[in-house]
Amino acid sequence: MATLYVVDEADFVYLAQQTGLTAGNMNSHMARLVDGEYVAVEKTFAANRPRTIYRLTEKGRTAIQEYGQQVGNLLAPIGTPNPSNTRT
Amino acid sequence: MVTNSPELKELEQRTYKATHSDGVIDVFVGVSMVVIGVTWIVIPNVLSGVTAGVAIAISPILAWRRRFIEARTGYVMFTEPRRLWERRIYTTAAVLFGGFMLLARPLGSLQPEDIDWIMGPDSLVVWLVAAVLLLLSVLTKLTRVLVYSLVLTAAGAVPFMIATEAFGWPLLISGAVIVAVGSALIRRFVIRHSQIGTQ
Repeated sequence: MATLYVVDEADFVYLAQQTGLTAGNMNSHMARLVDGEYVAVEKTFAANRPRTIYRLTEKGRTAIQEYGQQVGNLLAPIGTPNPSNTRT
Repeated sequence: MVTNSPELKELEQRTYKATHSDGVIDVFVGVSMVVIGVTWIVIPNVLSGVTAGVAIAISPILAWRRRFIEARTGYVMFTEPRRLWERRIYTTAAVLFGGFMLLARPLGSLQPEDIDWIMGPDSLVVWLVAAVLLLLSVLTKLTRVLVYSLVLTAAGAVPFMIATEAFGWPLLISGAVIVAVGSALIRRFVIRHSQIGTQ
């Protein structure tokens, strides 16, 4: 979803390559996101080959933003790591 | 350009850079420079036609590149601000490159006769293009564009080093380097995306 957030739209192949997921996993994940109305899907053709295009819905964008804020709030008390405590 | 958090901006930047690491435009620009360089060496007065030919050729190259990329990596459309930014970058770079080619001879003829050949038209053009590439490298954050800028800067000194009055050597040498880098990128891209995407 983060990849879809930073672009207007992308097809199945592009998202699978970006995420490293297999086709089966991608189908499963995207189906759930489409069912939850976080992602909109459009099936079309390009150069006589099927193309499935995904776009984030407003609900999906809001969800990403809220998730980002929640993660930020969760990590805020930890602050920035102290280099002397960092293992190499 | 995109979103509100630094992490998502970085993701958008990385995503955009990843879609421009195929090397096709590098090869096209490098070949253009080699062609212009060779033309200048062989026929020093033929300039405008070559520049025009290069400018005309770029549109089908970009369309072909899009099909070449999408067949392997899938389709993506970036946001409108990013697309607008990209159009402005390409247009500005093309106008500056073509303008420098056209101005090279008149500017070169203005130099006093007692100044060494290092400031000849071809050195001047190459250094102007190097400055544009330096700016592009900052805007696009593509490291190899900075390398191209340095190569062009070094190549601009070639006429002085080999004491030649033949135009075109800096462009020829720089173009050859860029073609080599672009070809290596294309090879890496094709190997990485060897199976054409299916869905």
